[in-house]
Amino acid sequence: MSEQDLIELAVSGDLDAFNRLVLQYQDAAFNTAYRIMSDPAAAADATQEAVISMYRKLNTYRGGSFKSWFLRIVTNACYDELRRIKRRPSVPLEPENDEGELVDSPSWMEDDAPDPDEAASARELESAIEHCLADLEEKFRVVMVLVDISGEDYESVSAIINRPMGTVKSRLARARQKMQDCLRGFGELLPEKFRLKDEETE
Amino acid sequence: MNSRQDTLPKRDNEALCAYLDGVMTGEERQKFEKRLAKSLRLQKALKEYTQLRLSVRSLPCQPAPRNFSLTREEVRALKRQPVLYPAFGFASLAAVLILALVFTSEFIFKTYSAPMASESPTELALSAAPSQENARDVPEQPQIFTWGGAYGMGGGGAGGIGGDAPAAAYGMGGGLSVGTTIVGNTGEVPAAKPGEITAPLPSEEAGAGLPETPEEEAPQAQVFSTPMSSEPVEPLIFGIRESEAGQIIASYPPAEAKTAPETAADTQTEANPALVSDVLKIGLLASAFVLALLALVFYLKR
Repeated sequence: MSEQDLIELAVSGDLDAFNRLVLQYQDAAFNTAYRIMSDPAAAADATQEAVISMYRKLNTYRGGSFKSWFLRIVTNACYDELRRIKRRPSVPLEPENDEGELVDSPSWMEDDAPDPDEAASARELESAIEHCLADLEEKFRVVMVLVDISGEDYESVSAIINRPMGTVKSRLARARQKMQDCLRGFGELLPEKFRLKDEETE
Repeated sequence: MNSRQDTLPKRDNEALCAYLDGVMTGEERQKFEKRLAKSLRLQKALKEYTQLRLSVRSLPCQPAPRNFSLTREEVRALKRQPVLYPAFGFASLAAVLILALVFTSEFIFKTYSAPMASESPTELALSAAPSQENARDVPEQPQIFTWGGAYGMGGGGAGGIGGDAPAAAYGMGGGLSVGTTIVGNTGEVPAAKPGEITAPLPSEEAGAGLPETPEEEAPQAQVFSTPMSSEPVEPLIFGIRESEAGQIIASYPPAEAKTAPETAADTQTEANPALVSDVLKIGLLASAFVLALLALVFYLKR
């Protein structure tokens, strides 16, 4: 059964068809939410809200990329969740690990000698990118996540964030520049091959 | 570390990103590639951005920690769930709008009716209609009907026809204003003896037709004197019983009504009666407040 058939069935009230669409896109939705929120629990809440909102708004779907339409709802749910978190901040002063225990020195702050293991190096870079991404302003982060992580084109992002194409270009350029600046600060922490060497081109 | 010199101008930065993401048109792309070939700075930036984009895209995809699909129970609950926040929000807004409408209409009503109210019969009424207190001070002027007039004729025309003297004297006078002295002519004018000619009475003054009597002879003459200054005058009201004299039998407007607006507030209230009662206004205000509070609570609980 094609995606279009599933959509038509879902719009007509078929819950099974709707759930198949959810299963098809829930990873992309959660990943986008996670990169925007930088918090798995908040991302899960936003994704669940987005699924509920999508169910309510199914009859407003007017064609086009269903994934982009769903990501638009996810992005809006993330905005709502971020606003809610800002109203009632509950971020611990110290970072927590997966078990909920406080971590004195999170991975991106560690200044130990780099792990020789390639996986560990990649993990360092990943942590640095996640940190820099989380540090971006919300409006820049959303555009960067949608373009570079979710793989949406400029036009779709323009529709998702409800801003003109010029704004998308401008925000993406600023986001990349800020990310670049942020990652330069991790120069010494990053593995050799990921360091950005200014002297090469000067 | 980063230096200010590494920061690309905004225009170049955007063009670089557009080139990297392949969203340039053919012509734009050719132009940019020519600039790129000449600028080491742009080449360096392009390399960095390419590496950055690869790094970001290489971030592992976070799989959904659970299934986000909806169960039938959840769907039923969603359909049952009233949308309280918008409902209360709209209700609150409606209450505020009605309240604003009430105040606006009252303001307009008062603004346009105020000049008329100032010209209203307030002053006229105050001057024309004395207040009840003032009315008590002013002695009531009884309605007095007079008859005969000051120049009335009649009285003791005593005409005697004598045998020898056919001429008769016609007495004049009798009528006097009530406010001074009422003199009744009893007709007991001494009758002229036959053959005598009575002296003609002067007719210039009222009552002068009567013979002047000295004070000591006053009791002998039947004179009804009712001086106003000494004793209250029993008004002679035509058609009213004596027992009802001095009393207000009927008045217009009715006696229960105020004779005149006594205070400015009364005048204003009468001129500009409130269109909507204060209770309703307070009720609307309270409703708006409570509904907005409920909407806020439901909004925050979402």
